[in-house]
Amino acid sequence: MTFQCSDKTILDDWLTVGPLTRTEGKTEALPYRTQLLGAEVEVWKDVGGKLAARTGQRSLLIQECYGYMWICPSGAPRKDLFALPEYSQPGRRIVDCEGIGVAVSGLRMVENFLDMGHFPYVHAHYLGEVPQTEVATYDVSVDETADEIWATNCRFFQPKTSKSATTGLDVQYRYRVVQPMGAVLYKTAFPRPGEMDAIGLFVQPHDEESITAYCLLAYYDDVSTETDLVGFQHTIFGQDKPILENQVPKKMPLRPGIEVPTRCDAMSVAFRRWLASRGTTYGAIA
Amino acid sequence: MNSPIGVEMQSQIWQPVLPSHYLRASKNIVAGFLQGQELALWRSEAGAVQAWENRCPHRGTRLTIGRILNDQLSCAYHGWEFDTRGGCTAIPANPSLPLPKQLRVKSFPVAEADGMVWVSAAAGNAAASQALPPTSTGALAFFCRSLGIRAPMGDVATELNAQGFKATGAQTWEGTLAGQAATVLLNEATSLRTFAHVWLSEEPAAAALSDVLAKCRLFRRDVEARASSRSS
Repeated sequence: MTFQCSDKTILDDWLTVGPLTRTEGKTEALPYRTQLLGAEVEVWKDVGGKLAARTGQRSLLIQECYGYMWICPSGAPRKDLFALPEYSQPGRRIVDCEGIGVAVSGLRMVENFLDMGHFPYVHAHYLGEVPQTEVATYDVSVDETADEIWATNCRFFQPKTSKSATTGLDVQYRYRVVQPMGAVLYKTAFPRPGEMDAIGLFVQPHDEESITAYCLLAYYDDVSTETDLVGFQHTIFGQDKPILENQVPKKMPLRPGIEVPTRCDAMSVAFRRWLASRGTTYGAIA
Repeated sequence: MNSPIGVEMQSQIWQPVLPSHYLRASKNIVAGFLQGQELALWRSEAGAVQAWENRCPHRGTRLTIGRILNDQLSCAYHGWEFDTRGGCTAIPANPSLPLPKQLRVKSFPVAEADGMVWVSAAAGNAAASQALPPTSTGALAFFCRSLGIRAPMGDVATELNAQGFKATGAQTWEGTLAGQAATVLLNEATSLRTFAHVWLSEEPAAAALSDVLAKCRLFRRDVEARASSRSS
């Protein structure tokens, strides 16, 4: 088995193969099996409790971080896994929401995660509500050092921003693309309006047109049960899934002119441009 | 090129995509297929059928999962609205910006005849200058069903001819199914997929209709078996 991918920008990244809990009770003889970049991957913990992974006979470079397993398919990572300091910040509650399978390119999944314009339509009564549809101008910047993209000064009126929200709120957002198959968003914490909750989106590309999208919360919420928090997040992802699976084509066009953006798509435009400039082609139409 | 199915040239342009009654004025959006092109079809308040590429120009979302609001199609993803000329009339996320004039959904020429919506794959004026599909004198009183068949249209036509049907017009065959006078209209969905829209001359009694439907399923089975044995 070899990875069905020739895109170095993806092969040299750290790609998730799911939460660490998947390896519970798994051994080399009976490993956790999953698909990554078109290849079957086996993961287990050896007797010392250390993570190990292979595809076919080939050993893979794997690490554990943020409660998730990360594989570098090429074995030669371009850089360290992205920083998520909120994961270990005191006062935050870490909730793993596990994954949801979506038949779409991972890049379209990430783009959807960065998009505020769809809130009143896809997430009506939760993250947005007609007629409050306007996306105010926000700032986009590329962090050349970390090789990440940021959208800042974003805000949107939300009728029910999270499980703990009891009224509508003008919510502040910050978005961060950490790699082609991953992003983090920060949004006003309803119970602590001075603080921002963090939500990580980790995409496992099974192939160019099918993924599992995992979601990790680092929340300020002492009230909601874990089941409620996970359920809320799955409601939101469940609303996005049929939209994403009806995007044609499933791969994301990077060249301008094929799909027409508008001003509120500044982050999406920056994401596509960033992918094109670094030569990412996996899950894309160049 | 010889034409074993005896259809006229224009039949390759106009395709019967859906029965007209599937589209209610300013209510629903229905998917159709036209020689490999996926379509979103809907009917305006004034009754004009729209046949559009099934893809929002913004982010590629299928328009068939959208909805009709105030005689406009609203995309499910971001609520962009398109009028009956396919032009974009609203981008709700940027309500204060002027709309790009060139922004429109690709649309195809449409005609209604014989209880069917006919769509032309030919672009713009080439299609408009084509004659409309001829009106058949056939049995079009009762719509029976549309059969989706996994076979090229030529195979379906060959089987219709073998079963005694006669080509009587563009994409149109007449004959009998389980003793009922029937008209079959063929829609080339893709090069490997065909829809056969089956009409009867009158609404049959329940038992007779059941026989016709059984005959339709046998017909489909035979065509698909022949097509798959040839390709394997």
